[in-house]
Amino acid sequence: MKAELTAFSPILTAQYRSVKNYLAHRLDRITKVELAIFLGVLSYDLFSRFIAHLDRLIGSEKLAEVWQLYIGLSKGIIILLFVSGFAFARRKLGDIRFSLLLIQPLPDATLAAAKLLAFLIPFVLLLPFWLIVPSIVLVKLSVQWDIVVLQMLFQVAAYLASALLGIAGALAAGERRRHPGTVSCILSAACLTALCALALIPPWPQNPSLSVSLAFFTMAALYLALCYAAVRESLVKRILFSPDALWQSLPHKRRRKGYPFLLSAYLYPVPGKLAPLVRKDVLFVARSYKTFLIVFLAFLFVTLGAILRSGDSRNAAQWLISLSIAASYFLANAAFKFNDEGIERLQVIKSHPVSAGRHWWSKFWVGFLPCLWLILVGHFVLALRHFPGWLGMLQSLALSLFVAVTLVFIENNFALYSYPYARYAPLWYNLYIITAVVFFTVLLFPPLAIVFLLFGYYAIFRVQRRMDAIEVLT
Amino acid sequence: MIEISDLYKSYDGVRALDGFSLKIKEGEFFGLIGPNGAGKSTLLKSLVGLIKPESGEIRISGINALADGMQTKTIIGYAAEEPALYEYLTGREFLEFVGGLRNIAEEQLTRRIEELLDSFSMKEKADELVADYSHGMRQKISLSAALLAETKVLLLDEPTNGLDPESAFHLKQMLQDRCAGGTTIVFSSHVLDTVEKICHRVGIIHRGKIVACDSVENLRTLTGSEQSLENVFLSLVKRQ
Repeated sequence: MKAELTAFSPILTAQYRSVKNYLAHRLDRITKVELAIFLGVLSYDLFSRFIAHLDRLIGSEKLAEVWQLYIGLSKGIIILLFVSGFAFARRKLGDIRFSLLLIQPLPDATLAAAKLLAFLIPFVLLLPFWLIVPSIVLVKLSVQWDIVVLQMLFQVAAYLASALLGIAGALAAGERRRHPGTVSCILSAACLTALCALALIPPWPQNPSLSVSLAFFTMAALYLALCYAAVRESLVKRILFSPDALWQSLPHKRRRKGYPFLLSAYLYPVPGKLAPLVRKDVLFVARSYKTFLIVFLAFLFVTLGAILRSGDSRNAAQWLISLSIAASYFLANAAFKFNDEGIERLQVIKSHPVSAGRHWWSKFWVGFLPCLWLILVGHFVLALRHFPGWLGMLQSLALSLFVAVTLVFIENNFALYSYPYARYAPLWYNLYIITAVVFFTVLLFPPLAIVFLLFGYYAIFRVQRRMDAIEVLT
Repeated sequence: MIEISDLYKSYDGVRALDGFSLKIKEGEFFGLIGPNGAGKSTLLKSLVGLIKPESGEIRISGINALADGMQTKTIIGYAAEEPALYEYLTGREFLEFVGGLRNIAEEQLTRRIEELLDSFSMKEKADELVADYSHGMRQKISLSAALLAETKVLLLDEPTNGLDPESAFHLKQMLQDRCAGGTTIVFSSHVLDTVEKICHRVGIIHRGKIVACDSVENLRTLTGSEQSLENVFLSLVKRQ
């Protein structure tokens, strides 16, 4: 056992570092402060709404609905964990990472077990987070503590089974040759997980007896063991019986044709001189969908929030403006952070006749263009639904565009000044804090945006001077 | 065409260019050789505006390159020692991007791209992402980008690195044609045979200074050696 643990240690350390670096890399790209504030506010808002809704239901004695809510939540988390397990396994079983491990002097079983542990550790760490909301529902319902504990155990079992199923699914759906045993493992794991999820909770208000609970618990434990065995078998088979398949090069798949018409239409509003630069960045965004996903998800959150909260026309207009602000903010942030020219790539720009100003404005358009289209399309769609007259819509459109221009403008200045050339800008952290403050100030008092625009012009000169002074030493 | 006088540049107190002066005539094929760290790349980067020298003057086609870098960049084509490309673009898209930066007319750009891709045997791979390219293929795209516009000056830093013999041959031919058409070429290389064969004049650079600058024949006379450029080079560098 000790020997096995010693063998795990470097792998786990490497896994830990890789997860840490991955998170740090991701968080660097959307400013940590901004993301934390955004998610904090959003989580708090959603949580308080959920609790208020729960209290309302309990107050009006709609216990069956509360129970339905509990079941819905549990199922939602189970599906989420399945998807997470799938995505995580797809990433962790990437060819290069696997190949690197395979050339180390490690027994295959150790490697397989270490891989499984690497999957399970994040799951265990996040477990309290998944359990907290369902447990709140049970506590609010004044369910006895022993039942709450049992329910939580069921939840854990179902979550784990679901995550393992996701991992097994990823193995089965791998680009490499599939193993005969994998499909049957997946099928059995799928049936068991579905059964587990369905049989998880006895119908309300009937309290489960201890014997029924224990039976469920035993079943859940069995599922766990089976899923574990399925994944382990898949992994071991993968390593032991077809190491050659792991080393095969992938078929050449990355022949990119692009979508010239769509791209031209999208880039239509961009001034001609900036078009090549903006086109390059847009292609980068389109092809780095994995990196861009986090921005897209954040944007989706905001959109959903806006849709959920926009009841009457007044609310719709208000939320449309807020949506424009949030979209501008995130997309402008993304425009630079997902497009940053590392110092090596900067030499392409600097060795061609591209002024710092032209470069800057191209970045502005990368951030502004999606906002522009979103605002235009958003207003067109909402005009049909909510706005009583054209005047109101035009006012809202003008305000949205003004706010978007301002925020993209400010954000681009700060982003350019700081992130891409961090080694030349030790003030980056402070600048981001200022950006965050600016963002919230603009939210609170939009007329201040004019001041920030003026400040932005000053910042451009500073930024351009800085860009001109950058030397490509590599 | 290119006049460099009294150029100084240091990195952390180490002199990379130490009062470097040189004149290159219009339409000249100039070879730049020197040991690693001699200052060849620093010189080329200073010419193209990637590095700002501490003092000195650079005039390209009569324009002060340090004061009006944008103007000189329009007449310079530059290929770096390590090809810097955007990995998420295809080779063709990268060349289109560079053509866009240089405002080359679309029709002319398409024709020129096809010619270059053909010369470097890159037509088959032109629509694959740069990320999937080998070092040699990246070098070909980087060189194609430098050769794309009809610039008056070409600055090429170790251009034959990573090229297969056929592409290297085509490159040399293309450069000689461009030179015959009046383009001034500065060619830095470690492959002395190539320099010896194609350059009109050779400058030997050592510790940030030019230690000898003449035709290969005259350099041989200077060192009293009847042997190859390699021997001339070694003899001159040892003297320093």
